[in-house]
Amino acid sequence: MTTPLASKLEQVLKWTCVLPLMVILVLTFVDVFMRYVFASPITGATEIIRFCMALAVFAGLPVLTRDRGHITVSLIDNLLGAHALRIKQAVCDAVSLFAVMLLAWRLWDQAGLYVNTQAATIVLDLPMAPLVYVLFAFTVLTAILLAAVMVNTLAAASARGEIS
Amino acid sequence: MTLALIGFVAVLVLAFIGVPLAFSMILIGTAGFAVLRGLDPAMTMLAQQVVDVSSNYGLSVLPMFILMGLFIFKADISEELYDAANAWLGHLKGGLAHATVLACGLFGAISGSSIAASATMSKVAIPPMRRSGYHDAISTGSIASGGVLAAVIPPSVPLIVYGLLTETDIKKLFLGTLFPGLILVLLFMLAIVITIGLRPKLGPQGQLRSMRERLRKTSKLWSVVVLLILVMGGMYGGLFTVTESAGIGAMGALAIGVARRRLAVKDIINCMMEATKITTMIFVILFGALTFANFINLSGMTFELVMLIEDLGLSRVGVLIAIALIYLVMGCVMESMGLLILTAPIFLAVVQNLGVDPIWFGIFVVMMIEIGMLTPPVGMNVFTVKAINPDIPLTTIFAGTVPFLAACIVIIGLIIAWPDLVMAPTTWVR
Amino acid sequence: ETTNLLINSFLPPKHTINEKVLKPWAKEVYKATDGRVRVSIAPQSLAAPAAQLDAVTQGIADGAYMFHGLMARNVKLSQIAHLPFINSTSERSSIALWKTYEKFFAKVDEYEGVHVLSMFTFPVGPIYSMEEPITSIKDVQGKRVYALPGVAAQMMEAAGAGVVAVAAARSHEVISGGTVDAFAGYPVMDARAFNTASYAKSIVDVPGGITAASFAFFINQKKWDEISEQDQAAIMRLSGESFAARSSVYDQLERDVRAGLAKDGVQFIEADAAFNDELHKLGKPIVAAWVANAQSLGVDGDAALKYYIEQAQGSQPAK
Ligand code: NA
Ligand code: NA
Repeated sequence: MTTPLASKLEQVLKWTCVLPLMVILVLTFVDVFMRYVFASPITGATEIIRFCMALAVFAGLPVLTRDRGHITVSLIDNLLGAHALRIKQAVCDAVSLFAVMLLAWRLWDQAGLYVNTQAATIVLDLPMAPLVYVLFAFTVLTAILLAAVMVNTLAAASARGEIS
Repeated sequence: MTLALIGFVAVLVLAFIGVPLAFSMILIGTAGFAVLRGLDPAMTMLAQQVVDVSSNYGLSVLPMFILMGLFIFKADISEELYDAANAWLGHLKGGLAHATVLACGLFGAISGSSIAASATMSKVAIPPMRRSGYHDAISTGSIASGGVLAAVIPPSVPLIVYGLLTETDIKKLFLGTLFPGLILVLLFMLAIVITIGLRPKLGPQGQLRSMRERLRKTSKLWSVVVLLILVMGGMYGGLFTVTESAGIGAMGALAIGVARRRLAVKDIINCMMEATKITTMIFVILFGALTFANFINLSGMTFELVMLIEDLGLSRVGVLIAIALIYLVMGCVMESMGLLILTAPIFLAVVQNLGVDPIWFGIFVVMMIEIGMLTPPVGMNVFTVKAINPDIPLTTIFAGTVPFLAACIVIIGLIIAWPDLVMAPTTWVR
Repeated sequence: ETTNLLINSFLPPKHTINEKVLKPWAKEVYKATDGRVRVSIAPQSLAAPAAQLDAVTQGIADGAYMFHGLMARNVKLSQIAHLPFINSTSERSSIALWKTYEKFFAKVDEYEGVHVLSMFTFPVGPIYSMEEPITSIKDVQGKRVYALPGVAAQMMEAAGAGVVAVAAARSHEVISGGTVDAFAGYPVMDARAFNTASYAKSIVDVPGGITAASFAFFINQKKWDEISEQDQAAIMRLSGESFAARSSVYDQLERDVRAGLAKDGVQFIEADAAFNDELHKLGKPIVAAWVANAQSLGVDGDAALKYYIEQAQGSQPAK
């Protein structure tokens, strides 16, 4: 994928992955500094870090899934031929896609629940719903990228005449 | 119990086909929960778990320690570490191998990943060993095994994950590694002494260095030592919380990398990208593990296992040996982080009833999964060394780890026989 | 036919609430319903502390208890128990909360989707110091203090401290890390459970407490409706005030832990009149805000507060 859209997406994903960690790193440092120098820790620093953690975890999901970077323990790869291997990969991708879509749907519902209950953090009163909607968006993007990867694999297989 | 066992088998089948372990656990855990409590509750449980785990303050300790390791890795200090270790130990029989183990231990004191340690030491330590006529088995074996030290000596990524997963105090977990870590370094050296003693041709002696040269080489490590004192001293001296120590450590490692002109802005961003990806990888399995653990909990399996152990009249030692054997077998084929996350909460619930301390068990489990990094067919440390030295056959590296595997088994035996080896230092802090 | 009730408990399995409150209650429910209602307690928590209500309305568990501090957005009236200076023993505060709820709050249905079985309040939280005891506002000014989010944090902030407010379960990291000079908000029994008690050199008690943690104990409404009226009545006889009275076990525990700490040389001090006055001044706006909130919900806040204090402290002065 080297279309302009794809490379733009790549840039955006890079920054959404990097920024939350930067905030955690700097905030932790400044919080400690403020505490020792001015005896005034940053109010609610832990809650900002919590939100950044969630953002980091889900920002990494599209990239990791597209790169097939998840931990796997496949034992049967050596037993399969090239043809069977590609079919196996497609099956695994399909199961993964199902799991990712399940997650996305659950996050969407959970965000809706948070809208209803107006759930918010205890110190800064940061609302949970917008955060979970962002997590949902990352998960949907993950599903789209995974589907694209899967289609590419199958297309490559059929181009070689392995699937009629 | 039956339902839980079906669940376990289902997860393993999906995983062995090649579905990512995280997704296998998420799907089976949710399905199992649905069988026990209904579909809607299972759906909500999954959503709650995911949001709760990902937005957890304490978990930020993980990316920060990972980031510290990555910055140090990029800062290219491994060469200095190795030179210093070599200056002190190079003149012994098999001296370069001893130096490798020591350098791995030192690197492990700043990095929490055994793969990173194996990778970085492969680049530095193999060329000189080859030049000096070391057999590939001893050079690669000592590097792959030396990597284990990085996961045992704090900071340790698997130990942090264990702590987060089982809500065990990470500070105390780190303290618990003090004696096992030191003893393991010595046992690794003993393994080298015995191997070289039996077959002296495997590893010749190097030259003796003057004390001045030793001190000169050691003094080059000052920035790393300062960082270590800041992170560990700050944590145990009561200056920072564990989470803060990790953040301060990452900042310090960044400073070292920049000062050594090894970290440009582009590299910093790449390190952060990498840290995010590793964090995501671990968190997604955490989602799965906690979902799956909720299902196993409700199924009553833990309770039944405890009853079964009582009926069989198994002792603490008997149960621990059985668990060690399970890890040994599963460690052959499973990747370590997945194995840890899948099994630790369940085994811990069982052994706690036998009076086993969660801190002790954490160190035991991390040792066991690290052994799995060395055993064929799937041994990640061995693969890492192989990836950097494609010309060395896998079988040579696996063979080279055998003496060190023996050392790992010895340490497991020692901590089972004397749990205080782990527990004593944890009583030194409140 | 048997109804199985799965109760979730977010506190650890060995906590007093599981061993001495929930398990005995479960047994008595079984007996009182002639085995028609069987209560089991989840071996490990199935949901985060903040998600207990959702877990019950969504059926993950059938019942649970939840910290009112985490329900502040929807449950405003029961926050009364967290107000400063109004509590006494855990047992009396718990009964006071339940009776005030029945008399004043129940008509404003703040617990959507669940049937409230009972309420309880833990012993009040004193002010712990790692160094010299804190006996005046001046002693807190410019200090770094861990405080339980909510009233304790508001009080400490108003007093001029640099407040670190994280969930109680995370307080050990903050306190053992040496990042604070003092901490406040939870009782000594919790300080021991969270492993923070040993950091305190001195503990200052404020009459009526600067705050106390209260909880609602509830069951899924649909599940409740499945139970026959006769069994519902039997369960309620064991819940409500009777369940609240079980909180005496926390008072016992609190006394035991305090005795142990005193033996270890921890200094226990009662706040003097001057410190008390200062604190009461700081507490006024917090109390006023609660009363205003209650009025806006159509509840006579002043009357409810007066009733609560009577029930909790009665004629005897607050401990
Ligand atoms: Na390490
Ligand atoms: Na292995």
